[in-house]
Amino acid sequence: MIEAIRNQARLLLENGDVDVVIGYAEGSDPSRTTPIFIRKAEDVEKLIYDPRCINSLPLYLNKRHEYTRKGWKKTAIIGKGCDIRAIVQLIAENQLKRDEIYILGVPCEGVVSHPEKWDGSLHDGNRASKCIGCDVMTPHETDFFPGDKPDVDRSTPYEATSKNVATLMELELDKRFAFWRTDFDRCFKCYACREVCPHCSCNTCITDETTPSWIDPAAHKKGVFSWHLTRAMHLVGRCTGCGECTRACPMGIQVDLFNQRMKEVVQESYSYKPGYSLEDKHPLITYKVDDREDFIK
Amino acid sequence: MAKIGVFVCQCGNNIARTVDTAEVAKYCSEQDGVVHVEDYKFMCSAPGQEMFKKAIKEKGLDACIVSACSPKMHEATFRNAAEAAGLNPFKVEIANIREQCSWVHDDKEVGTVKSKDLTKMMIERIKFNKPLERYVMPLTKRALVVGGGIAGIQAALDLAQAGVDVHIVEREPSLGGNMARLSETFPTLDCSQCIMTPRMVEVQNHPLITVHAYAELEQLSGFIGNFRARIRQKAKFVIDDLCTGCGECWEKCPFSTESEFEMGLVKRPIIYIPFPQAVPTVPVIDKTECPKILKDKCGLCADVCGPDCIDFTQQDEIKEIDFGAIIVATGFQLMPNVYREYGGWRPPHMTPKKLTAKMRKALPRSDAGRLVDVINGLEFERLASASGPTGGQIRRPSDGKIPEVVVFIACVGSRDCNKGVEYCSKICCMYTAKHTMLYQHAVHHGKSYVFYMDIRAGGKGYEEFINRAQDEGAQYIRGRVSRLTKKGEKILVKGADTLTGQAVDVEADMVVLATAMVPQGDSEQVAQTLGIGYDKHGFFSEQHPKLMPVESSTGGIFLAGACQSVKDIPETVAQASATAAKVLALFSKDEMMRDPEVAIVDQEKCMNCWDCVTVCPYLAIDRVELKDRNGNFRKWAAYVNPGLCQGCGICNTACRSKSIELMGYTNEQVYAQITAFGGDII
Ligand SMILES: Cc1cc2nc3c(=O)[nH]c(=O)nc-3n(C[C@H](O)[C@H](O)[C@H](O)COP(=O)(O)OP(=O)(O)OC[C@H]3O[C@@H](n4cnc5c(N)ncnc54)[C@H](O)[C@@H]3O)c2cc1C
Ligand code: SF4
Ligand code: SF4
Ligand code: SF4
Repeated sequence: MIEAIRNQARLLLENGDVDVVIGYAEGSDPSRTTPIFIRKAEDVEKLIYDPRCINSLPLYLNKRHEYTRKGWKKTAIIGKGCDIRAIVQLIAENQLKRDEIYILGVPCEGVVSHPEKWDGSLHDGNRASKCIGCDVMTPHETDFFPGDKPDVDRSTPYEATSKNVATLMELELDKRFAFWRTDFDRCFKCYACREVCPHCSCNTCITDETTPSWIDPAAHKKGVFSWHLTRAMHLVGRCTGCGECTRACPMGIQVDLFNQRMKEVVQESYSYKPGYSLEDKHPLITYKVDDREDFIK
Repeated sequence: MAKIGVFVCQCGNNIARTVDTAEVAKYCSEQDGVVHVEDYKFMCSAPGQEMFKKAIKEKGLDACIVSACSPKMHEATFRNAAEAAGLNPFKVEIANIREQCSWVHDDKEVGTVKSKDLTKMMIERIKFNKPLERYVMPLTKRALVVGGGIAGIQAALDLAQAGVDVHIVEREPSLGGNMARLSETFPTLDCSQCIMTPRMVEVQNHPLITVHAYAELEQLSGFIGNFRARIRQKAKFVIDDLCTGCGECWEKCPFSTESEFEMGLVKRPIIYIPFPQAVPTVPVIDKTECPKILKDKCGLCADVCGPDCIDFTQQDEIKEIDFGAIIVATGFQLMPNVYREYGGWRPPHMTPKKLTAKMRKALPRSDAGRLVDVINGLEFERLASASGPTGGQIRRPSDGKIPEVVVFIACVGSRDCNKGVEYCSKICCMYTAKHTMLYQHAVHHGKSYVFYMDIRAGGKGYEEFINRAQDEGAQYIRGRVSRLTKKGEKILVKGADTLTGQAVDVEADMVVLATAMVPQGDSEQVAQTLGIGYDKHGFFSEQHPKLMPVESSTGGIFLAGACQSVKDIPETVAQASATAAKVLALFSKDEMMRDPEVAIVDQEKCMNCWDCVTVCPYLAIDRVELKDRNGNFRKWAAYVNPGLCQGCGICNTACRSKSIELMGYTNEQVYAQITAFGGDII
């Protein structure tokens, strides 16, 4: 499989069809891989793909990042299904054009939840929760795909909800609140969750605004809660579930629990799944005559 | 340092009853920046306003807060007063301590504390208010009337007579609406067609009125004074300009289908005008039935048409026209499918496209045992009409016999939310009385019974009309009907007389249901296209139930006739003329002043996600390219057209990057307001 991808990447670079190929290469230790930007055809041998390839590469396509300002006209990117959701969402949100991107789709059997959990193979004990119930193991939007693409039904909700969300939702409201109060005590507002998110694309993040400071910059409870709740709300109907925010958090706070829950609500309320359509606008800014109105009392 | 004046109003006792206004004024005088306070009985009165103006001038106030009723009531009053006193009107804010405080609390202590908070919030907010200037906008002096029933006709004629260019969009092939279906009208029993058709002809001939028959309003953009309508002229397959209305085509058409105008009682050709007096007299081809269009068979009409005006290739045509005001007059329908309860039947074409949940509940489960001779009021009108399918002889639908006994049932579907709607359909008492008379006049030896709940005849000459019906032979029985069943050729009506407490059985030849008037089946979509409010039944909502009964919730859009609530003809016509007066008032100026409270984009911050473009209900936001100093493309950004923006603020909430500010409601203002209320939540 990876041979086919390498060959295609080589061809693209040799023909000058793309300026750069973004993919994965071996990392600093055997459990890790690292994102790599390949500009020379001979370097394509460095490309790899296996369950250790956790990073969400579409992050680098976000306009907010310098990489897109290097004057590259066309970028090829290796995409596992969930990352392609992010790419599609970026296009739907006008942050990227479809023809600027060449998607090298890879078949994916799941990735590990964290490099530390890698023990040489992928199994139920170390599989990322987003991979359970994944409907894009064969990706949905590609320019190149090694082998045949089977017909997959993607009409149903994706991803089983992670157990942690379900457990939280079973708690009484005050217990749930207590959980967050203790968890958020550890947050010191490094904004790793924001920096790693492919969908945080504002030029100035609301948390950096000063006239006025809607979100208190201090890392006390008020500042932390208002940050995380705003972040969750800003991603409703947009989060494509890569889980990077939780993985990036140095304090081990599961911030994507909010996003997962919101994803559920959006799917239940509007049968909408972000990252599957290049055109559809997310439900918080659109209105359809058939939309449920039962929450308006 | 700000020089703020605070004016606390007692509103007679309206506010003072639950708010210690003196205490509020004292508290305000202690706030930073406040240099003047007043506590007065009626701030909006002439002396109150004088006091307000005097304080501005004498104390040199640079911002004012009026703690009083809702800004909806008097914001304009005080802003104008401030302007007269030389203060920018947008440096005046209202703290609503009446609707949002005194009226909803009865504990004076609570009311006083809350009033202090509300006013304090405004004091902090106003420190960030900037002086704003109003915009001058052009005004298109052309009116659009949607719906060509009697309401639309009346409004259009009134406007045209005052010199206004008017367009009517009517979705049926002819003007007329439901009134054209009526035989004679209460309370005077004059012939409906005779009083209506001259008006239709007048519309047709008026040089200032353009009728778009067989057309629909597809999209509306813009705002008061500057609307743009997208009108879909449905293909008639007949060339308007050539057609002389000679009738060769519809007389020769060999195919037919149920006539909508005749309530399915008879058939009409596939190329048709709905009724002989139709305006315009240009026929249309029903493309869902025409074999030529469906499978290229027939085409007879084209052969017989002298001026050669049949064109089977005609397509829908889209017209974009600018208007300054809109009158909505889309009328009503009779509640479909109330027949189940009575075992009745309904011609298939009457099934409305969109049913409300309540109507759906009332749908017939099956057609088994249907009673063809149970009809509704409009069907009866057609039977009684001289131009109707029976030429005015009242004959029952099943076998064409003249019914000897007719039972009229009032309040079918009305005043009962379990079986229909909870409101009183209001005109049914009257038209039922009329029906009994029309029946008695046509069938002298006949017997008519009316089952009713209450008689509601509040109108000029209305009670007298009911008495007349009873004098002429109708027997009124106070009680409900529980069942209608077939008994041989007759219908057994099982009812009760609640005055005598006895069961009453009548064997009737025909039963007429006085079915509730309900909004058109698509009224919700129409409201959404127009951007106006509607109530839970689907009637369009007026701006204020008492003081603004003809204005919709959207500026420049007015409501006439039965689309707003159940109405008879006199009320419909009165309301239609009222809308015309409103439009004339709007058109009396040459340009309009617009509030400067519009959105503005910080284009450097904008990340061009176009979420604002998607949400703006007024299509006020454009995508623009920003250039560098050499004219090279630099970035995309959103731009709000201040002429189109209505200041609704939806874009503000959609913009995650907070790149849009709404003038008069800036982030700084709102933030100051919220934090003044303060309190740490966690
Ligand atoms: C059985 C019966 C008997 C009655 N008898 C009397 C009586 O004797 N005396 C009396 O005073 N009143 C009587 N009425 C009441 C009278 O019919 C109404 O008051 C009157 O017809 C209301 O007029 P309107 O123009 O508001 O609505 P309508 O007559 O319903 O006209 C609405 C028009 O708008 C058109 N339209 C609808 N939707 C659209 C759209 N989306 N786009 C374009 N066009 C559209 C329709 O095709 C129609 O032409 C009676 C009513 C009934 C049901
Ligand atoms: S919110 Fe978290 S899970 Fe969702 S797209 Fe952003 S980083 Fe990925
Ligand atoms: S929503 Fe905000 S960021 Fe997006 S295009 Fe509009 S102004 Fe720009
Ligand atoms: S405030 Fe924003 S959304 Fe509302 S009309 Fe103005 S531009 Fe459109």
